[in-house]
Amino acid sequence: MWQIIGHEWAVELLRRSLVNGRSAQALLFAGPDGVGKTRLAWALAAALNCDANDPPCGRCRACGLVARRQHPDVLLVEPDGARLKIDQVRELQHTLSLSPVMGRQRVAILSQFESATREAANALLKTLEEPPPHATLVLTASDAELLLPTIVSRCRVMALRPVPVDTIAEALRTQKGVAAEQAQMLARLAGGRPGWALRVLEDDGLLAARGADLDLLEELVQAGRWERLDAAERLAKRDDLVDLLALWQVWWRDVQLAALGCRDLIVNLDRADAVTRAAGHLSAAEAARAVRGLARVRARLLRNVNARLALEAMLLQWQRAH
Amino acid sequence: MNTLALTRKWRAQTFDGILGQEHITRTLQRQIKAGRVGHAYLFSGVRGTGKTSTARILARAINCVGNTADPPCNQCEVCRTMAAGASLDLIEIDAASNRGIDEIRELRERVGFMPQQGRYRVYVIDEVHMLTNEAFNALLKTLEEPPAHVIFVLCTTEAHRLPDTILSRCQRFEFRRAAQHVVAQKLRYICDQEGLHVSDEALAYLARRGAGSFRDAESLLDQVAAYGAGDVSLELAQSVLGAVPYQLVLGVSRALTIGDVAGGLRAVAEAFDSGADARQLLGSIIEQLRALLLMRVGTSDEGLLVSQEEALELRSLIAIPAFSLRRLVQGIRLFSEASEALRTAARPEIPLELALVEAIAIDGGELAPGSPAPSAGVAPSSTSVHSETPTPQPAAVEPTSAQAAGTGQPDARPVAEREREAAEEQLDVPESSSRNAAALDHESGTAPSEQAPRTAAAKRTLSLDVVQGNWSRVVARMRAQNPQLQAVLRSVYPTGVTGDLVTLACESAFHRDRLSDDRRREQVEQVLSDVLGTGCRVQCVVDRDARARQQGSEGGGGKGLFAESDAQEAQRQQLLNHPAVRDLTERGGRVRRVELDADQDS
Repeated sequence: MWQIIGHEWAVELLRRSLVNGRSAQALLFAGPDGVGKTRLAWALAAALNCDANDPPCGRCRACGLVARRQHPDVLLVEPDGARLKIDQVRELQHTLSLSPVMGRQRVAILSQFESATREAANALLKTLEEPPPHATLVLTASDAELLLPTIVSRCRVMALRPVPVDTIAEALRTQKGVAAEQAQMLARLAGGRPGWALRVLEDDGLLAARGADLDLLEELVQAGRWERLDAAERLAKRDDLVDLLALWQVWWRDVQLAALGCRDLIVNLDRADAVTRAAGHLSAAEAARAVRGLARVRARLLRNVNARLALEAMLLQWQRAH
Repeated sequence: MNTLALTRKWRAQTFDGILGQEHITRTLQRQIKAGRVGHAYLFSGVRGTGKTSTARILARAINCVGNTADPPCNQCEVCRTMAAGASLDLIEIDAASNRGIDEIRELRERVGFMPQQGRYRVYVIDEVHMLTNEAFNALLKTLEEPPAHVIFVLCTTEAHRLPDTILSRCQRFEFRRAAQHVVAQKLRYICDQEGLHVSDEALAYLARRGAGSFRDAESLLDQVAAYGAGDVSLELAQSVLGAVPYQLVLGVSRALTIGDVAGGLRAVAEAFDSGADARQLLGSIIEQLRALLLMRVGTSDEGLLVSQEEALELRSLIAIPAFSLRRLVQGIRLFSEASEALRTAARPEIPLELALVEAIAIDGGELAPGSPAPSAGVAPSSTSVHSETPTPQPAAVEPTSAQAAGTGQPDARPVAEREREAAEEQLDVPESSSRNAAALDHESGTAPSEQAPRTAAAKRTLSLDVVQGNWSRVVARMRAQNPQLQAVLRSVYPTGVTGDLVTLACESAFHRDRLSDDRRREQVEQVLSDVLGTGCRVQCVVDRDARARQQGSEGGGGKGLFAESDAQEAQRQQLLNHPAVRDLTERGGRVRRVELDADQDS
């Protein structure tokens, strides 16, 4: 009962290592947001503390406590504010040195470890290499390359890949009772991240917001400079700007592919018409430039540049399609 | 139920067990035999090459009381307590968790205690680069003159972060990345001990993925072993570790080199659909392209890490008439850069698609939808391959600096020396073009307000690399005129040319203000105009790392700053001439600053 969408190979690997008594004490799950890293980490935590033959059974007390996030021996360490700090690591080291309260294993899940400060990451090195016998550490990060090589070197690394569209669609149908057509569409849009699709199911506002954001993009592509500058001012105030730019990047990528005669590879299926229209007006090179521009602005926003200026510069570079 | 990680379980226990670092272990063994053990060691080097293990072995060896010529014996009581981590004479400190001055003070107070069992107390300070500055300073005296019974071993992967005062007090040993076959040898040993059946090819593959780090390779072996299949073949190891089959990669390589955009995009999509990890796919693409490059320029197949079938496929690819070496080289470059872009991409396929499209576009100009790039079908094989060979290829294979070639000097000499000689040389542009520059400038120089229309012409004549190429001459000539001003010019570097206006980047506002003073500026303009043979004006901005960028790129070879800043300049021009900017200026706006980020293409 791992209850993971996709990642069969990863589950199989973890299951077999438990069966073979070769479970690692330091693991790193890498992969994009919403792909299922933390879910897998929780499932592993349950498996390590479950007594059934093929853990996790999902029925015993330990499994129940883990599912409710109340197991005293499983702890989640998340960034404190924007970063994961050295004091958190020190506290964790202390906790891990104690024997488990009720289970067999103390499991620490350190999520978004790429946000750890250099000091915090270094402070974890020795623990990661030689953890106490009853402890397992699971790190998650969007990309192993974002971590210190010395950290990665001490972990069994499992890079979780985007989950195939059909797998997500099927999970949405069978587990959540979503109608086939909508499941297929959501799965497409999820970009391999089941977590995203699940979030959308819980909050249909997200889907509407996505639609509105794409509407805006399609308007802007046809708009003149002044409208674009206006938009930049408004957009700069949004706190989900990084996600917005990701959405837009995929749209432009679709335009690029359509312009190169690969309409079948488009992700934003519901927008196929607008994408094709834009591809008719713009060259692939222009679309490629826009894709790169979006990546650049995203990278800069993560480094705290002036959002409005960055947006203005980006929007003004887009070719006008009309 | 936890078993120790293989890498921990099979940590080397004797000097002979430390593989690939004989230059270190032999020296240490000799020192021990001669009774000349140092009091402070620094072990630095790549992760997983044996620093901490060597430190522990050293601690046992100098305390060992066993009857052996090659300590440690690992039998005597001292060795055993130390190995069990129970000895009070081996103190291992995690400097990354205990990085403050208080911890070091505590250490200093205890240094005086005599060893309990053996002759020496050994302090192993791991991850020592994380100590705070105060902690380092507090350590200095003790490190220099510890009591006779104390030995320090500092270990770090980042020795460059240590203060010089620490470095100079230690005997430094640099641990190297181990050769692939040495790592494989260690893996083989572990497999034998653990009763694992792993094929030689699989071990070679693991060792290669480990990239010279024993621990990395052992972690991979751990993962394969955890899968628990009886016999591990290369294929099984690859599939457990998520490697991408070469056939999938081949689709991308083929499309790239023959210029088939749509085919390439489909190949990328196919690889992702089959569950490939973006980073591994990217790595495999680059590796295959590299193999293609080496085969194409005629290296023997030995040492190429490709199977026979793959080599055969690659050979037949090279034989296709549309195969373009230029696109191949461009592809290697762009795919290598894509690794950086993966971090921020909204979807992992995007950077790969971009790299592919742009590498193909470089050759074919505008891209035609769905069909191979124009040049691919047109150019006959022999000319397309051979005529391309000389220029782009050396840049990628070995960094023959473009500048060095230009002045006819080998690149290895110090920058200062090269600058001096450059200063004594003639202007490095063809005579005619600089005359042209002068002529054009005199013609249009009377109407500075009409800048925009004539920039294109002027830019062609007075270009940034001419100014930069002659900058050291300008600085040298300034000495005769005004030595103080020369001192200022040394920390200034030309970064832009707009018409006859040269932009100088100053390291600080102080320098800018000194130069912006009318009299001094005129002096600079005078000398600059003399050297360049054309009238120019000067403006100063503050840009602290302009020169660092320049020197960085000089060392890196390949893509020189000249090319880069030329491109930047072009972009700058483009921005200034951009309809939007013009629009604003016409409405009464004033362009105060045009900003270009260095990482435009990241």
